[in-house]
Parts: sequence; structure tokens; C-alpha cells
Amino acid sequence: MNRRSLRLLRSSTFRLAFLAALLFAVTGLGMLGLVRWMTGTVLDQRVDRSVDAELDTLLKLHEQSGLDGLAAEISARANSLQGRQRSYFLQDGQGNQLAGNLEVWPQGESGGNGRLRFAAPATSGDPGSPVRAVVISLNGGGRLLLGRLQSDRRAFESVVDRVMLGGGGLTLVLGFGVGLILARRALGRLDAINRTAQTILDGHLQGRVPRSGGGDEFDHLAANLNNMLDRIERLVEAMRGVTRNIAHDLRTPLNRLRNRLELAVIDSGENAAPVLSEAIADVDGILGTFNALLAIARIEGRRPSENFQDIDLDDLVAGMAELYAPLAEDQGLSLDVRTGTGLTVRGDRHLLSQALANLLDNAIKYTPCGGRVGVAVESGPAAIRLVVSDDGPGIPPDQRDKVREPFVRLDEARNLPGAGLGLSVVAAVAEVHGGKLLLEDADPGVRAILHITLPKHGRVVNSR
Amino acid sequence: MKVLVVEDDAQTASFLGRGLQEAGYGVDVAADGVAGLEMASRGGYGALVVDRMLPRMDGLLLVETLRRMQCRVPVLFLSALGDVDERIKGLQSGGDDYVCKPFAIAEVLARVEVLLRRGETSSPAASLLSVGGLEMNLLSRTVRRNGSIIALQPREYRLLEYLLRHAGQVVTRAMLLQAVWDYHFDPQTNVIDVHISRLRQKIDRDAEHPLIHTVRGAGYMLRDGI
Repeated sequence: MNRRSLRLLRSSTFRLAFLAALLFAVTGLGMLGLVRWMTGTVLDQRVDRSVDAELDTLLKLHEQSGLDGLAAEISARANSLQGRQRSYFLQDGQGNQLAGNLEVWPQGESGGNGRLRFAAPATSGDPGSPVRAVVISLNGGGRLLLGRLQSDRRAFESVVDRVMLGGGGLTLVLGFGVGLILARRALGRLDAINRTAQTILDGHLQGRVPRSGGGDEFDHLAANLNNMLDRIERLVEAMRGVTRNIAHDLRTPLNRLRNRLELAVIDSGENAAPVLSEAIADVDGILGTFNALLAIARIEGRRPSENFQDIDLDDLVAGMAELYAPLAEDQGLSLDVRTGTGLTVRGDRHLLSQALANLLDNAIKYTPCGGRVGVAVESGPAAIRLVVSDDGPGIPPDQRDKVREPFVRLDEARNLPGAGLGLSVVAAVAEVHGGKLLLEDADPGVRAILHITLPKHGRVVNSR
Repeated sequence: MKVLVVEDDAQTASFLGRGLQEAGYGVDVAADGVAGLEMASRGGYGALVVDRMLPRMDGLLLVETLRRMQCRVPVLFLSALGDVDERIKGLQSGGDDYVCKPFAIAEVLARVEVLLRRGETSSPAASLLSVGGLEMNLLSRTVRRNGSIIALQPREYRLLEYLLRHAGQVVTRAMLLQAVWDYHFDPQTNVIDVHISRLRQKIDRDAEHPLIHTVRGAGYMLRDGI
């Protein structure tokens, strides 16, 4: 059984449809069963009345002509044409058969109303119909069994049984089939909604649920979801807009301030007050924050695979390691570089460089002298990983999600420079490449991983 | 030497003008694209500083038009659009360099100076670059200071080559990162400074007069003398 049919069978639509069919079948069978039982009762009553009437006659005969007379009459009746549909058995007080058309005293069960029910021995014409009989102990010893073959009841019951079996089976088969068809239709519509949700999750906020136009409940749901998505898109846009506008609008006056300070430094030449340079550095810090915010907005706002090219990851990592190696060495850190995977990925070289640079900046900044910083390319079955690790103080597990958000800095880092946007930029870059930023415990230290899942926007080429 | 600044924001234009004048250049300002094109096409400018977004005529179009008029004057783009692909667009339309807003005046000055002196300093055919007692043989890829060979890593060699080709000019950290490493981002840490200090140790360690100078608030300069 393939996954698709398994999905159909597990869908709630199918289960509901099949359950309804099952319920329908059970109800139908129940009603037929009731009819079967009641009809049987009516037939039994008719038989009982007929047997009672004959019994009266025979008992009167017994009173008049004794056991022998009764035996003669019963033999006559048993051999008559009617006798084939009837059962007789007359015993004397010692249990000897005096008359009747049964070979032995039948072993049967109670049929209600003081009656005995047993199966007639099979003959060539009849495969052993049920017999409904009454047993009477005769005054002066002996007993009499008087019964009727219920071949009509048997025929009726076998018809009803066939109807029940066939009808029930047909209902279940139809229910199964209809359930599958309904489930396929419902799943088709739901899949459309799920695909839209995935599109949104992939960062395309403009994705919408298609509508069939039939005006059914799925269309209703689609309309509501689309309205909700419209609203979310507007809110996200507004939020991005506000962030962008604040950063953008404040950047201009800040830059004027910076320019003024710079001109003041240029004007005063060698005698420039140190406070001016310090002020410029402060303004640069703020501008850096705004630039990073705008960069995040720009990265998040772009379409994936825009400006993507094939990037040799070994080159990328080796180049970045080469840039940072002297800095690491100056800080008393050893920088381990692991490349050689021969992996190529489709991506934006500048964004990936920026992301690696931010991770290396962090690792070098937070790892104490004598520590070890590692940068590596790793390949997995469905993903490539750019890993920057260190053996510094690490990030507590409960803080790891938080540090990826803008402006979040750990208490220990408050006295170090930076605005807390570095990891947000890395996360945004990872997302553009259809991946994510993972932070793992390296014990000690932390492993920051740019985890890029491959089939989506990237592709591995084993170039060696 | 005169520089034409085509910038619609009066404040920015005035700051740039003052900065360029302090550096010893004559400055004209055009406030929109059409005026900028008119003034530039009259000639007489050593370099143009052009904003990407201009009223009446876009900066890209201005430069494309100039290039079609066979005007080869070096152009430095200013732009609020910081993307690398915007930079590439600017360079494709005929621009020679690109600075993102918000910019440091020192960055613009350094780049304008490089553009202005491009013709005189860099003769790509030359096989020997030398400043003071420092010589770089581009064919044998050897570097000597006062006759004795200095061993350099490949990246140090390229860094020194860039400094030598722009000897006497201020080169900023961003210029070095772009030219020597081909990275276009803003590192949070002083990565470039560390590379320079390595190079300095090899070049200037035993020398009486250091050649690599730090220009405060701007970058570095390789020059002979004090």
C-alpha cells in the first residue's frame, strides 16, 4: 500500500463516510433481523395453533380408544400425504415406540411456549427442516410427540439471511468506495490549503488559498484564511515598514551629524579634539545598528534565489578563515579550518560571506584567550552545514532561541561592542537560502550552524 | 583639479563640497540630473560624484548618457541602495566606484582621489613598483626593502601591491576589503587592521622610516618620508 492510499484511508472524511456506511449497514441488518425474528414468531404461533388443534383431537381419541387406538390413528396420519409435513412419535410407558414417522425420540431444544425444537432427519427430498413439536405425557403411561416441519420458515429465513448478507456487504463496499472518493476530493482541497501554508512558511507572504468557486465549506474556509493572510501580510508589511522607516529616516540626520563632526575634525587638522573622534565612533555605532536593521529587512524582503550563483563552499570558508586568521591569532586563539568537501551550493556569495563573518566575529569576540575557534563545511544527506564553533562560555540552552532575535544580547556580553543584530542577520541569510541558523552546545562553547536544506533552493554538485 | 558633485540633497552636497575643498579640489554642485549632465558634458572635471537617485534624470541614466557621448571622466556613485547588485548595476552603467549612504566623507575623499590619480599612478604595464627603499617586482613576485628580500604570504603580497599602486593616497579599510578580498560587507571587528599590522611588521620592522602610515579617521597610506 503506497503512502497516498494510506493517507486516504487515514483521512477523517474517509473514516466518517465509512462509519456512516457501517452504521447504515448495522441499522439495516438490525431491522431485517427484527423482521426475521417476528415473522418467525408469527409462523411459530400458527404452527402451535395447528398442533394444539390436532393434539385436542388425538387426546380425545386416546380417552375414547386408549393407547392402541391412538397408535393406529397416528400411523394412519403419519402415512397420509399431510404426514410428510408432520412429525409423530408415540411411546408406551416403557419407552417402546408404538407409532410415528420418526426413527428415534429426537434430541432437541426448547422452542418457547413449552415446545420442542429439533431438526428433522434429512431425507432425499428435504435436507432436514426444523421441526416444532409438542410433547405430552398421556394419562395411564406413555407420551406423544406431535410436530410440524417448518420448511416455509426455513425458506423465509434463508431468503432474509441472503438479503442481509448481500445487502450488508454491498452497503459496506459502497461506503468504502464513496468514502475513498469523498476523501480524495476533501484531501485535494486540503492539500491546496497546506501548500499555501507551506508557501507562507517559506517566506512568500503573498501566497493565497485557491477557491473552487462552488461556494462550499472549503471555499468558505479558503476565503476566511485568505482574509486572515491579507491581514497578516499587511501587518508584517507595516511592521517592516515602520522598522525600515525609523532606520531610514534617522539615518539621514545621523549621517549629517557624522559629516559635521568629520568636517570639524578635518577643519581642526592635527589639533582635533579626541572627543570628536569618539563622537564619530558613537555615531558609527548607531549607524551600524540601523544599517544592520535595514540589511535584515532587505534580506528578508528579497525573493529567494535572487542573484544566486554556484558557490564553492570550500573556497568561501577558506577565504573567510584566511581573513580572520590573524585576528584570531592576535587574540590568542587557534583557528581550525575544515574544508575539502568539494561541495557547491546555489546561493548569494556576499550574503553567505557576511553571515560567516558575523559568526566568526562573535566566536572571536566571546572566546577567551587560549581558546579554539573552528570553521568548517560539513555535508549531510540532505543538507550542508557551515559550522563556526568555539570553546568559549557558550549560550545557555534557554537563551539559544532568544539570541537569534534582533537586539537580544546576553548579560555577559553587555559590556562588549555590538548591537545584538549579528545573529539576526545570519538567521535572515540562512532563511533566504532555504535553511536555518542552529545553535548547539559544543560543551564547552557553542556551535553556530548555518544549516541549508538542499532540494529547495540549493543544489549539491560533487565537483571532485 | 575640479570635481562635480551631482546631489539633490543640499546638506549632503554642501558637506561633500566642503570636504573636497579642504582636500584641495575645486567643487561645482548640480542639484538635479539634467543640470549635472549639462555641466559634466561641458568638460573640465577630473571626477564626478553622482547620487543614484536624482530628480529629472536618474544617476544611472546620466552616466550612461555621458559614456555614450564618449566622456570618460571617472564617476563615483553615491547611493542609499546598499545591495551588492545595486553596486554592480552602477558599475555596469559606466560608474567607476560606488559608495553607500550613509558615508564617511573620508571614504568619499579617498575614493575620489584614487579616481583622479588613476591615470598618473597606475601604469598596469609596469613590472616594478617602488616607493622609498621598497621594491615590488611584479614579474618575479618578489619584494625587497633596501635590497633584502622580504617573504610575503600571497594575501600580504596583494595587500602591499594595492598600497603600492596607490602610494601617497589614502586607502580606507572598505577599499582594501573590496579590492584585496572582494568582500563587500562591513566587518564588526578590526580584521583589516590586523592584516596591516602583520604587513607592517615585515615591511617596516627594521626600517628607519616606516612606509605604512595610519591616517586617523580614514585608513592607511603608503608613502615615503614622514
